[in-house]
Order: sequence, then C-alpha cells, then structure tokens
Amino acid sequence: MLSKELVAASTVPLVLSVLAKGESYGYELIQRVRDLSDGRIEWTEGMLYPVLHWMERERMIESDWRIAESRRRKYYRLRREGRKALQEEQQQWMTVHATLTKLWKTTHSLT
Amino acid sequence: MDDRPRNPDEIMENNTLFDLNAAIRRWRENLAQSPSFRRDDIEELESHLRDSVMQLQSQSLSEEEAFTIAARRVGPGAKLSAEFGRINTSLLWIDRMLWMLLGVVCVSIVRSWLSSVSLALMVSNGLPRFVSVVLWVSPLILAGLVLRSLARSDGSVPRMMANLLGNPGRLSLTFLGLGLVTFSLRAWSASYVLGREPYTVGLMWFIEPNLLVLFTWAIIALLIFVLARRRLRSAEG
Repeated sequence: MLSKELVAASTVPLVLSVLAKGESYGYELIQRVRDLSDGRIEWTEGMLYPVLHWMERERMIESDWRIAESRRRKYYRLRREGRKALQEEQQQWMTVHATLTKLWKTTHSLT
Repeated sequence: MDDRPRNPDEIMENNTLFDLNAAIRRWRENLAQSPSFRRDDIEELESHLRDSVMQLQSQSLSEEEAFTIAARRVGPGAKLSAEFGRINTSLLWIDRMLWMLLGVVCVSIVRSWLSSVSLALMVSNGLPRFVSVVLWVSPLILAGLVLRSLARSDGSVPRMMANLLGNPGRLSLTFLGLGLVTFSLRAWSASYVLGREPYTVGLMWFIEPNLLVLFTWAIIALLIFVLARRRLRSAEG
C-alpha cells in the first residue's frame, strides 16, 4: 500500500497517463489503475472526482456526459495542456526514479 | 460493518425486501444535504456507484451486499463533502452569504418587533400586562422551538429548508411580506404612542424619509432572490 502523501502526489500523473491512452470515465479509470498496480494503489473512490474536476478547471482535461451501454457516464479526455503537464510529470518522476535506482544499486554493491 | 444487520434472519428477510433504487435514492439525499455538491457531482457519483454495484453483483454478491460494499468504497459522505467543498468554493460562499443575509434580516425583524412592542408598552395604561410577559419570554420560546427542530432527526427540517431555499421567488416574497409586517407594526406602535390613527402615521411615514425603510426592504428581498437563484443555478451547472 502507498502512503497517503504518495497517493495524493501520484493521482494527477496516473490520471494523465491513463487518459493519454484514450478517453475514460471515473469508474474505469480506477479499475485500470487498480489492475495495473495489482491492487496496490487503492483510492477512496469518490475522492478521485474532485481531482478530476480540479484538473478540468486547470484545462488539463475536458469532459462530457454520454450514454454508453444504456448508462449515462461522464467521459474525460486529455487536452493539449494535459499532454504538456504529463511530459513534465514524466520528467520529474523519472528523475526521482533514476536517482533512487542509482542509490539503491550502489547500496547493493556495497553490501 | 456496522450498517449490516447482525441477525441472520434479518439478512434473509432484507434480501427479499432490499430495493436498490430506494437505497441509492437515500444515499443521494444524504449527499444532497451538503452544499458542497453540485447536482452534476452527485449524478457522477451515482453513475460510479451503479457501475460498482453491477461489477460486485457479477461476482455473485447479493444486491444489498453489493450496495453496501460499493457505497463504502466510494467513501463516507463527510469526507467527500470536505473534498468537493474545496473544489466548489464559490458554491459554498453563495450558500454562506445567503444564510448570513437571512440571519441578519431575521435578527433585525425580531429586534424591530420587540422595539415596536416595547415602545407601545411605554405608554402608561397602555398594553395589557401579558404582552410584556410574552415579550420577555419570547426569546426562550424561540430557542425551545429551534432546539426541538434540531432534535428531530427524521430529516424533515433539512427538507423544509431545502424546499424554502429551492424556490427563490417564494423565499424573497416571504421576506418582503415580513418586512411589510414589520413596517406596519412600527407605524402601529408609533400611532399608539402618539395617540393617532395608524393610517395617518403610516401616511406620515410615507412622506418622511422613512420611505427609505420600504426601499430597503424591497432591496433586501431582491438581494435574497438573486442570491437564492444563483445558488440554484450553480448547483445545477
């Protein structure tokens, strides 16, 4: 399980990354993230929606209501600003990832 | 865990009685009591809940079990309300401003009534004694009524408030009416003290700058109307 802080920090890049593969709605987004993380990233599901609405206000994503499989659902898709934000997120997370990986490798070789 | 019936017979009974749509309606009503949600937010959460229930039912859970688990996964109402409130701040502020305005207006109405009656009481051999008793006890009566309505937990008070706020026209007319009653009461108490007919005092008041009082009431009623309508609009948008 991830810590609360890490869940909060990673929600936006996770949403951006899932939406980069195509539009989706809240429930499906959560399922995708749960499956991809083998159930290790668990959100309080309702809490995703304020984040989505914030991202929409920041113009990273846009949404519309649609009827699919005889159900009304709100679909979200990435906008140009969202792609830019995703690139920045990628760089930042890769920097952290690369640094930690290097550190942990040297630790291993030392022990 | 707590909202599940503990008695196994009850579970059996509830399985046949459980109505998913009714349960979802109650769940929605519970959320709608908070000003943090727009109608659109609740629609979206319901759509999520229904997806989740369907998914859980396909794993051979009963309708009731599926609903209980799905609702728990969506999260407790208070937590959701806090998070949505941080996003919908303008909604919250319109709501707060409307309540503040209504509060200030109510207080000034009550004060004006009290001062009108106490003015009339000043005249010797004036009003009967019980009026002054009622006057001094009235805050206690009011507090008692408020406490009683808070203690009633059947949701009738929030529903009444929602009905009132959901109809801006009626709301502002109510307060315009209260304002006019207040104005007439003042004219009456003034006439009582001056020993003249109330309508002549009323006329006198029209001519004097007290005409402003009537204007003020009209403006307050308009303000209440505008705020209540904006509140409705942004809750829908």
